[in-house]
Amino acid sequence: MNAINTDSGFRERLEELLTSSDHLNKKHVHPKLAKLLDIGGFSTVFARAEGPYAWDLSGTRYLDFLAGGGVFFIGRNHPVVHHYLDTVLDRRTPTLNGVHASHLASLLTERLNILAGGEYPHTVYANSGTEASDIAVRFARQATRKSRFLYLEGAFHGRSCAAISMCGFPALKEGQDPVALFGTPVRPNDIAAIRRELSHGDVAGFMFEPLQGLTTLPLDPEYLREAARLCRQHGALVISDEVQTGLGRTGSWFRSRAAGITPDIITISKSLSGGAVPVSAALIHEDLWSRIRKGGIPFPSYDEPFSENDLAMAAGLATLDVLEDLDAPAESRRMGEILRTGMLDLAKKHDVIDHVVGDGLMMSVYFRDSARPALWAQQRLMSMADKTAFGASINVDLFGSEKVLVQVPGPGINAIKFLPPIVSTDNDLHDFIKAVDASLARCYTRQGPAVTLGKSLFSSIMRQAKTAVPEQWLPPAMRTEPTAPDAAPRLDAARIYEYGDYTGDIVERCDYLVIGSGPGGAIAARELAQTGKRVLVLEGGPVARREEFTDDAGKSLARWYYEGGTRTALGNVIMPTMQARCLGGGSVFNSAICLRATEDCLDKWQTDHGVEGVSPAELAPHYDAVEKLMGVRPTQPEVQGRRNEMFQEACNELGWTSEAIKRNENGCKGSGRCLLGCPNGAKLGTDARGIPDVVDAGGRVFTSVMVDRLIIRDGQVVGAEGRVSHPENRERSHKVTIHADKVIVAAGAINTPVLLRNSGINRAIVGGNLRFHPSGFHMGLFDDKVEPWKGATQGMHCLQFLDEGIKLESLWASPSILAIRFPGSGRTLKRHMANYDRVATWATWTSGESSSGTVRAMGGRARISYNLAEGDIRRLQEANAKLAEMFFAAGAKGVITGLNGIPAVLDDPSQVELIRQATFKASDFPTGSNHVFGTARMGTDPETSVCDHNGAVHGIGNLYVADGSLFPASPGVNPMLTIMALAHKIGAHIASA
Amino acid sequence: MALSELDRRIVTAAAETMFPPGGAFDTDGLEANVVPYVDDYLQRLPRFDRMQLLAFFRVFDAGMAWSEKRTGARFHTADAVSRREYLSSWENSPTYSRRMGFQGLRMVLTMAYAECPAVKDAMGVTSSHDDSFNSGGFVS
Repeated sequence: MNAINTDSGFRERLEELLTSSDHLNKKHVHPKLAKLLDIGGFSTVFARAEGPYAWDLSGTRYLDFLAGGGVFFIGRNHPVVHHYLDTVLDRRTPTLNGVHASHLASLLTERLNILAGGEYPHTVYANSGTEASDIAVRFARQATRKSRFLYLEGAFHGRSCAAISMCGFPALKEGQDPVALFGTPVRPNDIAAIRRELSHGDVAGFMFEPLQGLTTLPLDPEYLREAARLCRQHGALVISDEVQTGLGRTGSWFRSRAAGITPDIITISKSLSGGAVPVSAALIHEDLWSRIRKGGIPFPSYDEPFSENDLAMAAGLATLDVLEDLDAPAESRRMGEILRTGMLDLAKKHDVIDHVVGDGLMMSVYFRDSARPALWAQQRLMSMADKTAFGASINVDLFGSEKVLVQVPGPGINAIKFLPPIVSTDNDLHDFIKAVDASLARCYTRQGPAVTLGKSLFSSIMRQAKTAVPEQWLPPAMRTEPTAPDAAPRLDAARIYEYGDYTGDIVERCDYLVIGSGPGGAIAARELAQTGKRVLVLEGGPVARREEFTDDAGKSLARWYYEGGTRTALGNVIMPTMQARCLGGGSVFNSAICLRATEDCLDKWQTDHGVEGVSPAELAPHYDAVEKLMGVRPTQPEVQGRRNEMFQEACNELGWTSEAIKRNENGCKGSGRCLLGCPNGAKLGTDARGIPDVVDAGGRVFTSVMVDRLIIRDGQVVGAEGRVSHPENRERSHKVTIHADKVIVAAGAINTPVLLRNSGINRAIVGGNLRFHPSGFHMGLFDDKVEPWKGATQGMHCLQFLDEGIKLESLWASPSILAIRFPGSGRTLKRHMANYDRVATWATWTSGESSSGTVRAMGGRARISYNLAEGDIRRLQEANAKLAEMFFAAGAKGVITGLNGIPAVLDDPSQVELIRQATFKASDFPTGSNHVFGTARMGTDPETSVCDHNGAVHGIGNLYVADGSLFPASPGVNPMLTIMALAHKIGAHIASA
Repeated sequence: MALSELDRRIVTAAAETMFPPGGAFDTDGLEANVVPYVDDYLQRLPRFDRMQLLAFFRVFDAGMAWSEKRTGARFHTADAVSRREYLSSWENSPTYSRRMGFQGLRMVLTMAYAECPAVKDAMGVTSSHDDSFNSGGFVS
């Protein structure tokens, strides 16, 4: 070897960089992060670090209880680690030669196996916890030949595509959809959820952190044992992610083993590196290993270039030596107790501490609002910007005033988390407790952390206000740097775009712009896309994936419905009405009922309302097309369930007709969850049928974009503008401007008139003629078990009374929603709820032909007025009587109607006459309706209609409507199929024009 | 947190009254974590809708001071008997908006209560509801 010059000046360059590292960092590596940290008060430049400490340029010492996110469990720059690494380098070992296994890797595996109890003789190495998660996923899929994984809400397993799929924080997955893995989140410590999901038989593995890395929530050992048993029973692997908890941090070498379970795979990383060389390991249980080997299943290939490299293996061995020497589990328990006791003592002094959670040297202090008015006010103010803001303020203050590093654990968690290195002294622990004490004490003064955070809070508010505040009004630090031409988001490919795709303001052009992706918009867009012209669909809500559907009504309503499911029409009735906010709109969350409008109603549309081209014969080919597309078929007998069967029996008993409801589904399992999103992916909404065809034909779909107004010039629509809208909190961000030759509005009968009116099309009829199908539902009480949650949501109906304007249907919804029908409160209410498995619910709705209302724009929201007229009051009265009659015919011992003015529970068939004989007012009916239409009705006269029979808006060129707004009156049945047929007709008309 | 300390006290009082200890279920409203559920639900709502619900809680609470008995006490400071009577007066009120207010309050609280696993178990829902037809037993 030729002599080389080792005096390269590297040390000098390193010294120079360390004293100016943030400048280069800002320039090349993390420009935005560095700026953010500056604003947040974390602008310190560290020059040296050792053990649990780091020193800044001025020589000030910081206590580092952030520890690189847990990487420096044995402290920074541990001498034993340095010695091992030096030795390997000096020895010039033949690492990564690809010919034989690494000796050091074998040695490390032996050591890990001993610590894990001797049942893990094989280890697969990689470079990070993320990769270890990937390895576990691949082994599980290979071994089980299944593809679905269960993970926990609040979990974190890494940041690769597979690992982030199993992240239990939706915020961390923003912009990553579609995620790589089919994973289902379940609540921690909810064994029923595990049992339910495993029962489907398609789960490859259950991955969990026995003490969650971000939330620091410990899982109940009993829960883990039962979950592991269930996994064994159903052939799913148990995967314990001990990347953060492993190697002694929480009081045992492996927390899952201490809980009494034997995972198939244990993953570790962080501590194993000694804070020096990236490394991770997946410990494979011997049974799994031999099962794969004996089963002739190919091992998952994971030959990664740097795995088993000698430096990483040496760092791991050094770390184990240090930890075993310290008896890390016992030491962590001892130190953790000091911290826990200290924090609990602080909780007695400072009422902002809500609780302390975690174990050993992995702990969090969660915060709440103080009862002290001044602090309370500051906390409330801060939480308006970010609900973690108070925790962030403590974090900032600990850093700036106390020279202590901790962290805010994760998105939406108002807490501080600390991971003290095990080499910290008891004095360090007590200093830390004092620092937290001092920081919290300052909260209660006028110059507390809340004020400290004020600057960054102000910046945050300014950032959010940037859309409204001229750039020159912003402080220099907040001004947007000139955007490079290539920094604008590229949105020109034919696909569905989501929130994370939008990195800046959007300006696009298309031939046809369709606003809305529900039954109207998707079908119209599909027809237009077949022309080969450029179609762009804008949808206000996000993509709704079945793994996101939950039977938790509150979460579902808040997430997937406009106004969080609280939208209400006001008049002589207070009437809830719900419209979905997601790709596919109402078709994703309705009962999938597909019926053609009655001939009688279509005749009235023509004769009474002057609409042309809507006779049954003229609409027939459009109905045929959409029925075929949507896979419409009668509800299958095997998924009817007792509740639906009893409906049919009641009709038979009374001599009434009944039939299976036709629905757009394929593979319904009768889970009764249509209204919260089909958990089985069986419903064929327009997100599944219609929108995919648009994309296949070259169209683009922008989800999470709320349109504010149409751009109208010289009587012609030329586009639309709006803002990107956050999928969950609905915060508005980037401006969106779409230029289009023709615009088709299909935002639904509430949002369409609001958009038209906000765009200056505000004739009285726009948003007038609001029509509903006012509805109600009863509960029948039976002696025998009904188990009403089993069976299709709406599987049977009675059409016999349509000519009276009355339809009767079976019904199911989330237990927590239907339970509102039970009367009373307190123990009375509980007594009724206890009979839940012996009730059936059926519904009725009426034509609403006598009643009407208006939709008006109130800012960006809809103000909905509606009055129930006498004719519909009488229809509702008779409909409710019929429903009660049915229940008694089915053998009910009681019927709960919810009607005001009659007994809460009818317990004799003769009492049905009480309903018929009562003098009801509108306000005596607990009514609601999701069938809404008429607010941009078709017709020939611009004074009395908004659109012509082809959906073209009177007086505005190139603007069309294609949703239920078009109906001049009731279609006589559930409206979705007729909306689709009309949209099909209108789309074909525009395409051919 | 969406609930201020006062809001929390109001919702706690409402949960205690709507789902008291004893009766058909062991679990009461507080054990069922109704208050944190409502807090979480409110956080998930759009701001305007959240404010409307919070305003309703305040009106409901303060309204007790002006109710028939005019004790001057607000709902969250009243004794259990008075709370029960007040709640019942809303449910059976001749005033439509009060009846609907009661329905809304009961819906939010019931939504929270019925999400509690112990309550679901007591209602007989958990295991059977979670098993779809595919898991056997029902398909004929």
